[in-house]
Amino acid sequence: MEKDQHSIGQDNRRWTRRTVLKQAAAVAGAAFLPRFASAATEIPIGVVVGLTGAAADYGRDALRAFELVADRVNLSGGIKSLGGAKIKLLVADHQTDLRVASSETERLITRENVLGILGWAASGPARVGSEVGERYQVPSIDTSVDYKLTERGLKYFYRAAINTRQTCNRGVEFVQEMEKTQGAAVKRVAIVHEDLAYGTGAGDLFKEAIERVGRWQLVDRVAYTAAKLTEATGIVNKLKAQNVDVVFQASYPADGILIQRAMKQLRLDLVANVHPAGAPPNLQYVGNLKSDANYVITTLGWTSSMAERLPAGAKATVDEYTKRYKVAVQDQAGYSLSAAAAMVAALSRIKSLDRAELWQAIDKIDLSFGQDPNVIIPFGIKWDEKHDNAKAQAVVTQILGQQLVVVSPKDLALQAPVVPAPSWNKRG
Amino acid sequence: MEFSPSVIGQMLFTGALMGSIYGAVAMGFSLIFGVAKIINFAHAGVVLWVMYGVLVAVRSGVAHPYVAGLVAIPLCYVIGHGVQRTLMARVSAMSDDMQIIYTFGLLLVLTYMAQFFFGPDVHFLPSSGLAVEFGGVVLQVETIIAGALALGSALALHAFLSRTWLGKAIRASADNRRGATLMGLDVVRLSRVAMALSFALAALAGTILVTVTTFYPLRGLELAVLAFVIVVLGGMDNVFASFVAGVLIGMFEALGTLLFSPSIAHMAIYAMIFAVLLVRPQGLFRRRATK
Repeated sequence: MEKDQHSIGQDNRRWTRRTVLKQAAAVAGAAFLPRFASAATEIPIGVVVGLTGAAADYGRDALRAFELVADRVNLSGGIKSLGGAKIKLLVADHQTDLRVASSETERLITRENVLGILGWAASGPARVGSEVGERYQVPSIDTSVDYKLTERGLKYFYRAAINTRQTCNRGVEFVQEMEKTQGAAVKRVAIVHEDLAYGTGAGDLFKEAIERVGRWQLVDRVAYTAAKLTEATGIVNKLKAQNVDVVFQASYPADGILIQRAMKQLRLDLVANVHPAGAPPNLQYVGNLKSDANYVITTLGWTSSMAERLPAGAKATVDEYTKRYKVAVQDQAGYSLSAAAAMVAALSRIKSLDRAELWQAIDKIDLSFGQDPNVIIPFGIKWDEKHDNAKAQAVVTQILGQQLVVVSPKDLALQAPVVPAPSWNKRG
Repeated sequence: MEFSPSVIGQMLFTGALMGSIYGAVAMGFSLIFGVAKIINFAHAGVVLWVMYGVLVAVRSGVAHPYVAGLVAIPLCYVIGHGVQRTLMARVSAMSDDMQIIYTFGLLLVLTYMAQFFFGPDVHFLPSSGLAVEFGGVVLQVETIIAGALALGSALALHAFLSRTWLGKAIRASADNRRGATLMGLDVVRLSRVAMALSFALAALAGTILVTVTTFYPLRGLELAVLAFVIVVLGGMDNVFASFVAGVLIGMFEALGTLLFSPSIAHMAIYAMIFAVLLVRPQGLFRRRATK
């Protein structure tokens, strides 16, 4: 038998040029297909958080929460709607560096073919990382708090955390409530803030909210550079000269400590000193100031003292987290549990590993507090038109007995608020 | 705003006391520039490490901050002597820009070593709670002691440099290194003494700062900028003028804070430095060199 002049093998299989080209095309085609399309045993979800750098504390807390939820899902048989596929978290460290946040987000999307992203647990990296996600149309759920993140009209970016607009507004509302319920007389208020993005943003939001109230006189807005603040009696002296009743303050721990200490030194007695998260929830604040930190009020989405009032499922999640990682659930971990819960709920509604389908599922998320045990932040997750979490409600906490204690809303409150705060001369 | 006497008094006293502390940070920086002609940014790193040293001593219950400072000052003097013999020995021979790169690099090493060993957290020593009150002015005892120690050290250093043989020799080597050598002065040894004194002043500054402010590793970089700004204002190689310039900066900061805000006050300070460099590059308190 005359051998075909194009055959290249000696076996029974005939390797014609056409066969080789077909095989090569098939191999090349498979290589270029997104990895998740070939098998549905794993669902690649990107996690971009800061595990090093200035926001490392937040990043580590976020990663712990994401892992806890993913492990829970995987141990209970994976995502049922996807044939029991397991969630595979692909973790990248953005190092609290904007350039790295951008490149790592892009790497997870283009090389690891992640279906969606959980992150960035820091406002700066979230700003750039979310832009990358938007470019590739990858849905993401973030846990950063800067209110400006959701004011950019991004289509694929969602935020599970409570934001600074919510915490600032709640702080101002709370003082109004105290006027009515406690008879606290408020006439003159001031805003004190550090002059970077967090403080300036909070200062703007406080100003807007105070202007809406109308009847208070905003006597001063004091901006300072946190890194250059060696002592704060100058700031407090100015507040005292203006007889302020309430100070709305946005500080980091180092400067917050100095200002509080100067308030004590100059005996600046206030009806209330209200922070939108910032310094007071930080362990360093009470750790350094001890009892001088008492009566400071802060509005935030989560504090570990809330655990006692949680629904049973959410309480079990907090206990499991604490037992597994040997640390208390901080606010970033709480937000991240919510973000992961939203991602899991969306995955449970899709039929194929398709980013567009996941985005549509995320967009329709509506989880209630108590319904999903992973949601420990009151009162659930549902997106508003900006993709902020409309169900997240800031709680008001006050440092009492050197502990951050929830004082509002009533159903989560452990103690009644102490407003007006006792004068410095009457404190022990 | 009500500018009552107590408000103005508070502003003046706090400004002067904090300015004295700033001056204490800058004096060592100025001294080493005057004698060794080195812009030693690492000086702020030494201040930072003393702050951590005092903190460790206090938190471990070993010593009161001032007692820890009393140990730190001679210890730093000895270390400074050693540093000038080793790490800084070749710096004088470097070009000005290489000196800046070298000492700034050293500052970064000291800052990030502090971050490695102590973490990025903020630290703060609890105050005694004792205060002096007069006419509505309230001054914390630690701030008064810090200001007094800073002023005392400035006067003592001024007396040392102007009244003692060693001080005069140091000034002579600062004014004219070649002339001093020809007169038989051991300028290398004098540089070591100056560096040792500079380290001792860093120890004093660190001790008093730790009692009045919060700190964390990156504070070192801020202190370096502060010291540089003060010595530029006072005159690069005039130690006592650096102290006076520190007081001026403190007063200016307090006044700016009262009238505007701390952010604007700091901006104004840098604008003032720019103006001084433009109009009197030799500094506010130094006579222009005669030809």
